[in-house]
Amino acid sequence: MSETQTLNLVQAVTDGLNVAMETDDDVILLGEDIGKFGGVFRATAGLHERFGEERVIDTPLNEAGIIGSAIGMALYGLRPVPEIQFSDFIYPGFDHIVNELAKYRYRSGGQFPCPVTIRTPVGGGIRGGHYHSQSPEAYFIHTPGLKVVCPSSPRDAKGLLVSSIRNDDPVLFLEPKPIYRKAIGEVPVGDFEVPLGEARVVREGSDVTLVAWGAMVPLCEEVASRAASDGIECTILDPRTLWPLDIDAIVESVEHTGRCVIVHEAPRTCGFGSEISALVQERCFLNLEAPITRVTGYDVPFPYTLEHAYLPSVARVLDAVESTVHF
Amino acid sequence: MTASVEQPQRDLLEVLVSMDLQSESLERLLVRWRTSGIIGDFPDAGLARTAMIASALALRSNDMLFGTARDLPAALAHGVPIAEILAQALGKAGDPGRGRGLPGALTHQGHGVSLTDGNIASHAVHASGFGQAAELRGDGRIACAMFGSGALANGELHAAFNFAALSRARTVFVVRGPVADGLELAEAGDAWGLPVVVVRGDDGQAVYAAVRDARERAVDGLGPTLIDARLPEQPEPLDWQAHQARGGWSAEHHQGVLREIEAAIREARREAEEGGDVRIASLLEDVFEDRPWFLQSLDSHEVTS
Repeated sequence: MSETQTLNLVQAVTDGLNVAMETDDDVILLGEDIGKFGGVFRATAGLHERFGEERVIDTPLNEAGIIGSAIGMALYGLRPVPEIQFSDFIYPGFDHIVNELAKYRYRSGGQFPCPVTIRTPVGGGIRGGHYHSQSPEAYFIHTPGLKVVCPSSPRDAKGLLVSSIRNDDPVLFLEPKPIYRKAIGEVPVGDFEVPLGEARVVREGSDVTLVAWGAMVPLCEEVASRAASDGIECTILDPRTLWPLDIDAIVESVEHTGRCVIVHEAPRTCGFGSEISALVQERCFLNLEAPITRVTGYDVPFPYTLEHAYLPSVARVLDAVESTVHF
Repeated sequence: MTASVEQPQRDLLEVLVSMDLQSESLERLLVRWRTSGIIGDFPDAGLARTAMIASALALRSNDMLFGTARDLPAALAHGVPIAEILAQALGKAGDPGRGRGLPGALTHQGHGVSLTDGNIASHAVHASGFGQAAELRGDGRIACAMFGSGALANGELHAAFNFAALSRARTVFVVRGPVADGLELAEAGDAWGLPVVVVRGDDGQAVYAAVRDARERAVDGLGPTLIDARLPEQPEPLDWQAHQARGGWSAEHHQGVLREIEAAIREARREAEEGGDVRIASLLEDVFEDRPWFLQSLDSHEVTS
């Protein structure tokens, strides 16, 4: 058993950045206020002092410039890790991400891979309103050429981040900010990776499979605990890498339970839950005992005052679990 | 600032004229193919060709050239073989980009070229980032970004200039082609902290000197430069007759050069076509480094169609 330390999720992100930077001089961070200030969420705290201003670069407040510069650095041969302060601000860089970063390898016939890992906080429930709370994963999963990762535990945050940075494909690394400090756990000390593309079984149960990521994972854990008191046993699967999805793990679980509930913060229509639902239906049709159910944000802009009503709650997910099991 | 070449450089002029002829012949062929439907859209360079060629000639072979599909003459001058340019235009297997870009939107890792038909100025930001990395590493390479007047209205260019100036990026920006809106850049450069050098875009030697000096400035760690190499209202084509008037080659020599160029293009076309077509299965390749489960195979009807 390797040595571990207790960290929260954002500390684990910092630890992962430390490991990636100390093991590869080509890893360079850039973003708004990430240097001396250490980032608005403190994810880069201490890195400027340790690695210097040439590797932890404060940039102008221009997301297109940040992402575009990172692409140029990657074409040079570096392994840049830009930070976008909130995923809600990623859209000025959208063209660079979907038209350039994601496609550079393909449109160059494999000549120019772009190993850029974009870190950005996602999710609501922090009284942030619609410019500080969104979950934009579906836009990027829909874009061929991007890998999309979202950890839900400190251990996964560190291991997946190190793997993402060392990966030669562009990665959008979504950090669930509602649990930046709530999620606390043991994290291996030193160099440590969690492979991309492998789901994590958070909890095993025989009645229903819950698929959730980011801040919805601890919520589903609470749902599962309450359901268990009513005799319903839930499996919770955290895909961790949203794309490419570990569909085999989900299929294996749903074949066993016959029921599937997908939970995400983003709006329902064309959310990633829709794709997961289609994939499960295609592969598990004869195993399904009930319709696949989605518990999601509503198809409205993210609200400020009513965010508690917008976000999936324990009660809403529990209702879905009970309806599915008793269908 | 205004760049000037005090003494005409005979060798440089010969190369410029020769490259201009070669590029013009190549573009004429591509326009003919476009008109007859053999290839898709292709934007020819027109008289901006001179500035493109002169800029590329001032670069070192390991410098990175970012431009638009219109900047194909610069790719030629930066060393990309004609056969690969034609394979790219035709979407043949000899295209280093494996048939993924519109004619002219050529990528060539070996010769450090990335031309795009995307957003009008996104590539300038990439050039800024490349130049920033080059400044951090200090290995003597630079990036050169080419764009037209239209790009000056695009916010991406502001980002590129802003980031490049602040990071002392080893980047040379070249605006070429017609003046679209009368925008003067010399004073605007002060706002970005970016030296602006104004030259006539139809004066190949002046453009060459400006880019060469800007390149040296970048390598010395003094930061990026914007070369305003747009065309004057009455541009003068860089033709062989002007060269002859300056004591250059004769009419006979000119005919010989043209014959050599036509022969070279014919041979390159044969090579490009004999290289065969892009494999259908390659449709699913190069999306990621490895192929995930959803890119393992094409539908059977696609393979046979």
